[in-house]
Amino acid sequence: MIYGYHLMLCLFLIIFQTTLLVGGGTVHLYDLLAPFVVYLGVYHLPRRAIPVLVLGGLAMDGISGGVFGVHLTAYLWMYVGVRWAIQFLQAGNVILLPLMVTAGIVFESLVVAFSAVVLASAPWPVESMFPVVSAQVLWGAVTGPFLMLFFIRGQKVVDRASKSFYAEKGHLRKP
Amino acid sequence: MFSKRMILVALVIVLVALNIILLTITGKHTQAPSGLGRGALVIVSPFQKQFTAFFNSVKDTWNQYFFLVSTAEENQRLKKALGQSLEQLNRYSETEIANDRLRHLLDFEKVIPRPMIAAQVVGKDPSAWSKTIIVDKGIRDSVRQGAPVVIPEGIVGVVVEASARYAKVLLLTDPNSAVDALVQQTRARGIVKGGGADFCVFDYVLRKHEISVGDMVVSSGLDGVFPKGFRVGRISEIVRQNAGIFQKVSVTPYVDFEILEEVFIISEPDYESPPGEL
Repeated sequence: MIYGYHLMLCLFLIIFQTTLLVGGGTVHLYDLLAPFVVYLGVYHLPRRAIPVLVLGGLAMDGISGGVFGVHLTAYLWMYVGVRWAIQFLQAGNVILLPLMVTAGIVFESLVVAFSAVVLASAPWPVESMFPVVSAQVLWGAVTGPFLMLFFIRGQKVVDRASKSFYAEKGHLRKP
Repeated sequence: MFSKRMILVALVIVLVALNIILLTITGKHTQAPSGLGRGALVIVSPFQKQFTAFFNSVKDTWNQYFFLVSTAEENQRLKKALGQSLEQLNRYSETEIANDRLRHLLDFEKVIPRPMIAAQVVGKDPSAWSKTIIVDKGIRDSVRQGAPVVIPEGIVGVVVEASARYAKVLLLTDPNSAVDALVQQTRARGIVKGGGADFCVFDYVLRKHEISVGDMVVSSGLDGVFPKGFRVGRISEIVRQNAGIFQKVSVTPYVDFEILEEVFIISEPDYESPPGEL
């Protein structure tokens, strides 16, 4: 059930940010999957997170016109980084968690900007990097933690539904 | 000899280097390797289409019921514009007849019009670094990679990837875009490239050509992608440096890429039909 929740959430975020959110102020739009990757890194083991990350990364790279593989790269390294960081940090801390989300958005924005400025066949000017990345990070720092809370709340609901479903199933099996 | 920590650090460095090399290779192509991009279009785009349809229906309801007040005023304005357009159309019809007669006299080959496929925009690239849109027509609708995409206002871009039912369009403002173009009034030629933001740069325009701000830039047809005469944009800035043989020209596209909803994809001409019937 949790796989289904993660896949649905991933798909929803991709569709949401490629249909509804585009239009005005695209420069400020950060990748909504960045807080999602941090959430997976903090709360889920690789066997649960990696398949979703690979699918989400490939889907984003397929839709985007940027360097192919850059989203997949950013998500996987971000996940590895978060897994490494939670060995030393108290991930559930009310201050550390928003900081981790912001750090994840900073990392993702920088990787995508680096690919556009350095690796693309028609690179962007370096000076365009600062306003875009700073705006994305600012918006990410403000809204990212709320998205994280939304993911955590959703997971609790799914866990509860899953438990009650299996309990009922077990109850029905009893003679 | 080596500690576990050192091996781990070395492994991470090797993986990062390998990752950058792979991204450098894929960065040189606008199309995703091995059809992976097409796979994403197949999976995600149907959902995008439904979501966009729902969003548009809500928007239409809002526009229809809450903005009726301005409709009468707009109707008057449109009637006036229609009158002017009809007068202009009449003049163009006369010119076209004269043009056909003169071409016939000079024994010029007749230009074969290319069929256009109407498509709806179902998704846009959320990244600030790449300018692409997804449209709901694909290979099944005769959309091919490299097909030009336009709207009545001007050139939109070019199809870079197509699945059976959906296609990805690289917009004119993306730095990877390029259109061979000329200034309509002076016929000064150059290449219009995407400037990244909401403007384009008009490269390789010789200093000797007299151009001015506000001049219209149209496609020259020499790139083999866009037919001749499609509007690209108008010149918004000219910088003539003391040195160099070219001038720096900025072009503002006629198309507003933020509000794109429908586009036309120009497919290959139908050579099987006799030219006279087209």
